[in-house]
Amino acid sequence: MRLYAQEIKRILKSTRGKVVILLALIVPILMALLASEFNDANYLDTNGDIVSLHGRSAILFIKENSAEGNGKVTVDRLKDALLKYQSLYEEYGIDPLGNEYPLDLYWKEVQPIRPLLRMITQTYSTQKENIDLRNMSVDTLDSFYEDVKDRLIYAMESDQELQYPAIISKAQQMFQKVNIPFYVSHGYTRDAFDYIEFAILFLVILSVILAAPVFSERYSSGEDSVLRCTLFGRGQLVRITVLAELTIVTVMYFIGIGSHLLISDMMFGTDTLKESAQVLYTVYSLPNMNLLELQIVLALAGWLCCMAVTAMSLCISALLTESSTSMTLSLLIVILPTLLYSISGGANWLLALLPSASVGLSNNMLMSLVDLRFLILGDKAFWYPAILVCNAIVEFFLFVGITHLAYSRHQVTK
Amino acid sequence: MELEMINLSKRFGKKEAVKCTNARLTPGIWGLLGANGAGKTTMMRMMAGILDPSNGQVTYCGKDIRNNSLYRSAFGFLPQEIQFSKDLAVIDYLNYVAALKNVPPKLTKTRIDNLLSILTLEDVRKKKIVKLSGGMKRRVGIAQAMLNDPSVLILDEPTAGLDPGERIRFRNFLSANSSEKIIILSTHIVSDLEDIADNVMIMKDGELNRTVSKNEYDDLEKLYISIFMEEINK
Repeated sequence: MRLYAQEIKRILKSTRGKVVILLALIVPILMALLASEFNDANYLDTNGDIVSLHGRSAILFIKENSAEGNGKVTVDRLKDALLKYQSLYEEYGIDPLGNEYPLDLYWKEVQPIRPLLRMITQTYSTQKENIDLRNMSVDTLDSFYEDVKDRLIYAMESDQELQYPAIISKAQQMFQKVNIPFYVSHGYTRDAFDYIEFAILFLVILSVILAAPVFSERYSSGEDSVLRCTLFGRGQLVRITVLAELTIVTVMYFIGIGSHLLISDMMFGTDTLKESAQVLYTVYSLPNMNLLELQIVLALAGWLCCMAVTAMSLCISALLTESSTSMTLSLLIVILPTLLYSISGGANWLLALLPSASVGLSNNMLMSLVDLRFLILGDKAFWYPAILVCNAIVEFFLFVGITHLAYSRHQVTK
Repeated sequence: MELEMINLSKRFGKKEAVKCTNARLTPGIWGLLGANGAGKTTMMRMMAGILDPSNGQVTYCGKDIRNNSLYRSAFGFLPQEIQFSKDLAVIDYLNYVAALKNVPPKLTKTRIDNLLSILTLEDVRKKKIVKLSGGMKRRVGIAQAMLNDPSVLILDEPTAGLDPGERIRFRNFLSANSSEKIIILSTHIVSDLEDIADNVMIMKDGELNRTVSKNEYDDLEKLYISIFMEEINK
């Protein structure tokens, strides 16, 4: 305990530690504010002039004008939404979802039903053709939730990567567990969720910066020669160092992501978190979660990734004697999944095996959850987000083990 | 109490840095004298247990020093080159090493205060180590080696970077603290060992060429030079 306290103190007193922790406290908050700042809304005032709103005032305006549409997505409400769309189209001769539709009418009539119309469009459109809501029969919506299931199968069969029977069967099983009817609670945006992933990526990078030079710096400075000679300077020191680094990273991560989510949820309103993930994303998405649960899952998956990446950085640091090489290599591995994903154009086993596979741009955990991503091994299908989580846990222990071995067996030759 | 090197050798690729060395060290000050590149540092590292020998072993009280916690709790080591964490103050660093050496918390403060006083570092105890002069840094290194009041103290070129006054103080400090301890002091400067070393091991080309006791040498420098002259004459 005494050594652990000393090791924590050592990290907190270092310039690198101070800078990293300060950034972890400030930047996620700024990202949350930025996410809310990018919201815009235009409306007509009493004089008929266009008024532009930004940031929180835009969020509040949109929420206020959408409130009527919040609630369970029942078949009756879907039918009402479709009928309203058709009557509005007929009455004004302009597509209510188009840009030319009068603003005052849009906010009053269309905005509340917009999420429902999007779900109908997603369910009944094919890859080749968008459904024409004007001519759609409301009776079609009687079997809406069954049709969503069919749409899921269609989506998988149309995708070369997903058309394996094992994958389709697995996806069907998963979708059976999704709570229906869905729930709409308008306000939270996809952009805000993207910013959660950016914040996680940023915190993971900070963890690497904190952990990557730890052992290699000791080797290159010669300090290792002294520490290694002490009673607790080998196995115990490496265990305590790893534990102290992981403690700091964990605290830093949860404060960073916690403050980000807190600010973000305050900006958009906690009432919006009741919305089903299927409403904000694709109607046939597989996670049985509302937005609050989705946030929690992202934060926890991000922490696991953070742990795995920190363990990897410590491992590289224990194997290399140059801290700059250790840092460069660790950072490269963090951005590698983003590069590999954009090159390969999809998920694959090679990508999934990287400890940082769930952080990045298109490859991140959020996208993996809301898209249909599976991998095949033999005749079994595995849900990609589950692979990422399992992989992070396995690699964490693997890298901690290698770090222990590498540091304990290191020979002082320099 | 004895520290013994048995058929100790170390090879780096084709180069044999230390050749089959045998020595038995008992309490007292042992000098290890040799030119740069003679293999002193490699030997010191093997004695410190931070470099595994290619052959042979080092034993402490009859037991191999590798994975020997008794030895690790009983010795202190000052490497030839040491840089300190740039963010730590003298007192923080010594507290950290004391925790690693398992010095009881109650004793830690007394030991640190005592060492800082002996090594005239009291005024800089809260100063960051990187901001200290070379000599002061060396003294911090000596302080950390002494923190656990070691029975075996291995000092690799301890006087490097010290000014003449500091060298004298250091020699006096060693003499005063050498009872019941095995102190091994490696250097290429003959005057560092004169008068204080009970025994001097002279190392040349990776071999222990000769071990002489204090009674056996009148003029260590002359002896040291004669060994090298013998080689040249051959």
